[in-house]
Amino acid sequence: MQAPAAIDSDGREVIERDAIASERQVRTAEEAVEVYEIERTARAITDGGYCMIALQFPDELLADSTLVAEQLQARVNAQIFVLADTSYGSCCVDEVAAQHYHADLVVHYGRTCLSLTSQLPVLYVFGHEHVDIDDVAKQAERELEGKRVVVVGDVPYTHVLDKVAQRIQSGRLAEVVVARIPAQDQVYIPTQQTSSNIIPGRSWKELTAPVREYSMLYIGEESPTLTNLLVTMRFQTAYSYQPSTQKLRVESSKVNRHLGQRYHMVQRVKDANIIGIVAGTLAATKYRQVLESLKQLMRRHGRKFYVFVVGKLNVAKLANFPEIEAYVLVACPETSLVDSKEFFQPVVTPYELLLSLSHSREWSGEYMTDFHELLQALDEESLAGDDEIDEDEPHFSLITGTLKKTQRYYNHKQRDEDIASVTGDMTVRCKNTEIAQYMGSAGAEYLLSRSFQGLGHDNENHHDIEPMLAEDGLSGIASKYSHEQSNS
Amino acid sequence: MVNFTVDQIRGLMDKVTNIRNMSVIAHVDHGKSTLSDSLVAKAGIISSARAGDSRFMDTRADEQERGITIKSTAISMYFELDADQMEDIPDKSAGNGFLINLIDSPGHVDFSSEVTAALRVTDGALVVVDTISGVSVQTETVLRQALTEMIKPVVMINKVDRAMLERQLPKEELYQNFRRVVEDVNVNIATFQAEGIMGDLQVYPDKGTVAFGSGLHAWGFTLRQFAVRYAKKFGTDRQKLMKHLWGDSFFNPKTKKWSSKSSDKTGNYNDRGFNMFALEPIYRIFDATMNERKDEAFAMADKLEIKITSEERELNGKPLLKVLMRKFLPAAEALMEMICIHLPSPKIAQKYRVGGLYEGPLDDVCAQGIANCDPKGPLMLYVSKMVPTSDKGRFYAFGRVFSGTAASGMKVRIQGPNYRPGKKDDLFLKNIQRTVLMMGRTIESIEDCPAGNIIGLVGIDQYLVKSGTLTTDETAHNMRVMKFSVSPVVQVAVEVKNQQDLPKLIEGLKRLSKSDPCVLVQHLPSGEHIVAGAGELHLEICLKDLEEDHAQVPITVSDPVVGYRETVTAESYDNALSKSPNKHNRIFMKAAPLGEELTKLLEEGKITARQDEKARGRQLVEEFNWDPNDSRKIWAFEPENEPANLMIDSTKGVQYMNEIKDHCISGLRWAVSTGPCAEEPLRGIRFNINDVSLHADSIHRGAGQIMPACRRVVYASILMAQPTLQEPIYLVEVQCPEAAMGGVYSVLNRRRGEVIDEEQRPGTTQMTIKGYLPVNESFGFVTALRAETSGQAFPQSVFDHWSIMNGTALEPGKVADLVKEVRIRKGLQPEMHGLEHYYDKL
Repeated sequence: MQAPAAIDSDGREVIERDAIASERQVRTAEEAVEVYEIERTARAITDGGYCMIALQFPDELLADSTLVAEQLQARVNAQIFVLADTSYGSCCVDEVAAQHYHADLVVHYGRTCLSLTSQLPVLYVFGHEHVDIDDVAKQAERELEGKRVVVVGDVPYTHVLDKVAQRIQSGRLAEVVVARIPAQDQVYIPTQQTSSNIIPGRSWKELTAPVREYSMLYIGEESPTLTNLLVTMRFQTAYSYQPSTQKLRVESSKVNRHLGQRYHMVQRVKDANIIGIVAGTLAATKYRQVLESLKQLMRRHGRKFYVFVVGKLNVAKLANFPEIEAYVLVACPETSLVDSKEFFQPVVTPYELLLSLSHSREWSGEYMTDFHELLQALDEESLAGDDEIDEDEPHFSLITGTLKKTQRYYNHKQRDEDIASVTGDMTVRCKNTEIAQYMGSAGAEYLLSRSFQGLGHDNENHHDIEPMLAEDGLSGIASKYSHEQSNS
Repeated sequence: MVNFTVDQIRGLMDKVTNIRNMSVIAHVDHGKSTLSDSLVAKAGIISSARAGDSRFMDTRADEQERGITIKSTAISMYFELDADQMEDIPDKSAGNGFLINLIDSPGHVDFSSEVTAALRVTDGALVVVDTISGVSVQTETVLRQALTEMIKPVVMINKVDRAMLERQLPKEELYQNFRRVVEDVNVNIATFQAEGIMGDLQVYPDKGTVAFGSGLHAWGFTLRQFAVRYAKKFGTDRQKLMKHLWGDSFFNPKTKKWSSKSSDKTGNYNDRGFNMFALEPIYRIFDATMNERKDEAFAMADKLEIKITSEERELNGKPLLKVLMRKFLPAAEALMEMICIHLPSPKIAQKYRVGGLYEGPLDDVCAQGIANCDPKGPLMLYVSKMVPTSDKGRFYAFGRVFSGTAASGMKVRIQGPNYRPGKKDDLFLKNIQRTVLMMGRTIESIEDCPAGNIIGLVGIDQYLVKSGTLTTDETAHNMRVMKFSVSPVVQVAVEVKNQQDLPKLIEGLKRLSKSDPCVLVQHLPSGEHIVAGAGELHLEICLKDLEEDHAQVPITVSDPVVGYRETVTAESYDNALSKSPNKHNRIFMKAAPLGEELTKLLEEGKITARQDEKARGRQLVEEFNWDPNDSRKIWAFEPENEPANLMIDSTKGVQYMNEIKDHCISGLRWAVSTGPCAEEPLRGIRFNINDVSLHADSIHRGAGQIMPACRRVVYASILMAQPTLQEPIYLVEVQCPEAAMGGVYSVLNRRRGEVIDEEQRPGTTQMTIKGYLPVNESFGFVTALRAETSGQAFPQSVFDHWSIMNGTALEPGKVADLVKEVRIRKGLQPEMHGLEHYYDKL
């Protein structure tokens, strides 16, 4: 117990941390060529005339990266480099990192959420996982007899979807539709907008009946993709087939439970006055618009917000700001559904934030994670205009069982009158200058409620010291700030 | 048939000395509502013919159907006293017209919270007791509540007709029966009475504070009435006569003298004054009418100056008896007289009640306003419950003006239960839209309402959950929050059948929470919506309301489940250690049981975070043998609103402790609502922070590092301290005939119950059995008991205490199984995390 204050500071911890190694690491070059589709990739690079190629691997496949890069380099006349340690989810294309090196093509390996990039062309390499097609077909026919079915797969299983569909089509099902991934084979170029994306990155031929009448057959392991599909798409029933266990099971019951848990978050956010926006992606298109719309939404509803960029989320990072009562995570559809049970504050998706703030919009069991839909909803909300609603009226919180009054920040209309009444209440108690610090600042308010307020205010002991004005800092990216650019 | 107008009432509202606010309280089925009906009949709201069977006060359809009262209902009535009655009123009055605000309350224990809400706004209580079953558990409970609220009781001994007709009790036995009831009531009053301030609260038939009668037949009397009658006849002093009409006072018909012995020297039998002068005429009327001697009955009626219409002459048997008795001794007359004479006016009552009602200092303007019942003082209004309006989702705030005058359109400060003077939490500045008089099923608008009156308010319901204080004074403290005798321990999870109905369910839950003083609604992180009530019946009613009125969507309801508490049974065998996420900070902690006694004091708010630190410390050292150093370093009382756990800083000479205090408190707060075993709330645990090592650099010991570490170490210390569960236990009282006792015992035994007391009601074969029954085993208890005793046993259960279950959650056994069951129900992984999940090695 007498250990010095700095414990374990020798970095042992970092070194000993379990490396997430792939279970199926490729051993030979031949294997790599097959698994990582080196030939196809090389062809695409040559055809497209790309010369700076960024290879993005998720952590668990990093071990293979050098082998892949070597093999690829041997086949194409372009500079190839590997992007490791993605700042956010490895499912998104790390455009910012790639741009640092002026890449003109990103090759993305492994699981992906298929979020659209805003500038860079991307080639997805999904990998090929083995599935026992006979077994899938047999079980599916038994369970799904007479139903309309949409076949969806996790990305490594995309290659078998058509085969599965063909096998069961001849069977006893009413209709079989395959969800295809347009970016499966060719390079995705951001300017060429794919028309109707029903699920992010996936599309299918037109359905003959409403989605509600279809069942989903999902082939793949349990993954964020499945969760996202389950909450956003209201299929009649959802089945998942896990190739590793070869089991087909019904997922629908879990959905309601999951939605119930999400709804709990919505309720908690309703109680929150100060909300943190966490930028969890820099890749997905329109994330900026979503961010802006969310800010506007909160401003309109008088909520105080702060914007955070924290990279990958963890409990300690978010708990560092106890004054924040809830976080909204702006990220690709699959990473934004964070299970925040372990977090100190709830972490919600932008749609959930919209639900909890909106007076007009109500929970209907519908859910959206796609930014396009979301922006539409946010726009509608901004036009809705709920001026006639009594801003002062508290709402009943189901979490605490009490009435919660929303502390309103950013409300210029009522501000003046408010100050007058507030100061009336306040001056009774406060004798020093706290009033001036108190008003309108969420952070200062929180500070006052804390028992430890730091080692003392600057103005307490040194009345003569002039407060300093904040100055503009450096801007740009850390490797080359904007003012440095002009010099070089 | 309203024989008074709103204007008349408004006029009376100003005469505070002529107002009586009273509640009718009793055990279930002792006849409160029926009795209240006969009063309402007198005030003329419903035709008197229907009094006795219309249950005017039961405003809901299901109340009428089930024949029990669920919600308390208020009504204002107007009554005029005669000159001789006026003489007996102890305090000065303005005229002989009286305004009586009556609140009928439910008798079933499950709805006790309604009684509490009713008592708060009244000054007097009419305690109704069934002659035959006597003082029962709920009579005691409501009486205790009344006395803690400083409410003056008067008693009505009801269902005398049954004692006479069904049980055929002779006069002396009936008298003894009455005497026993009066004694029982007085024993209870003596036990629970708050010292001093209110004087003698016991009831005495010879002072006129006890009435006898039958609510169903709408007749009743006090000894005062007979005394007046005979005093006129014999020309004696009424006061003296009254003394002789009760107790061991016997009349010798020959000598026409009173004596204290039941026989004179010659051995002649002397009749007891009560039997001879009060019971005799009643028995004679009963005898004559029930035995078809109508002529004799009519002759007596003539003598008693009872006017009988020709139609009534055609009646036979019971209906005739009813008419005769009602005309001879109208119940309303007796009760109204008793209420007006013996219950205090607000002016009198508020003087002694102010100390119990007001949280602030007793010398401020608000306290003075309350004490003087001053209509010109600052407004002090307590809203004790919410009453649904015909407008869905809106409520009347029902309460009493204790000081000042509440008027329509007035701007008031609405202070919720969490308001603290000088702070802005739970405070709203709003206008009262309208003030209304609540009259049973109808309401009447009224301009304003001065101090001392009960009132309904429109337009402030959305600013209060269930209750709160309304005032115009900025410095006003809150009126004291009501303490309920029941707790919501039985819970169910409700779900909508269609997901898109969820918002409607949420809205419904909000309304439900408002409409019932006791019900608890909650949304759990697991996504479940929980409705918790005091008992099965209470829940049943709440859920019915939820589905049919508040939400109006189809819902599914889970089986009832019980909420548990997680606690420890020993001190942690070693210091638990958890490190922060960056591993640079360590917290060493031990958990230990707080002890049931101290936990109770915390829960009752007797020891609080807001208390004077020194006084609290002294109490802890003296009464609970705490270390004096520890007693001064209590960091946290958690959970915040209902503390049941403490965290103590026992470290010595650790730097930066003040800096991490807030983080540790947040960490504990995070942990107490979901324990490590079954994610149930923690209760009765003391956490000692024994040592802390912190990183020298403040950025590495921020909230993000300390909070998770603190939460983990709390869990680790619990797992090292023999964790177990506490389950809620009911106190049950079963009334049954002696013959059915075997059945009661066997049902209790089968359900892990234990009998703590068993008593025979004197003079009857009725037994009262008291026992403890785990709430978890109480589902279907009533049905099982009925089946086992062929419907002869009637149980009443009320939450009594938390009981530690045997065994620990860590070893295989009952507790571990239960933990698993709860975890599965909550959708958690079935096995709880082991110690290694929270404990970090050094």
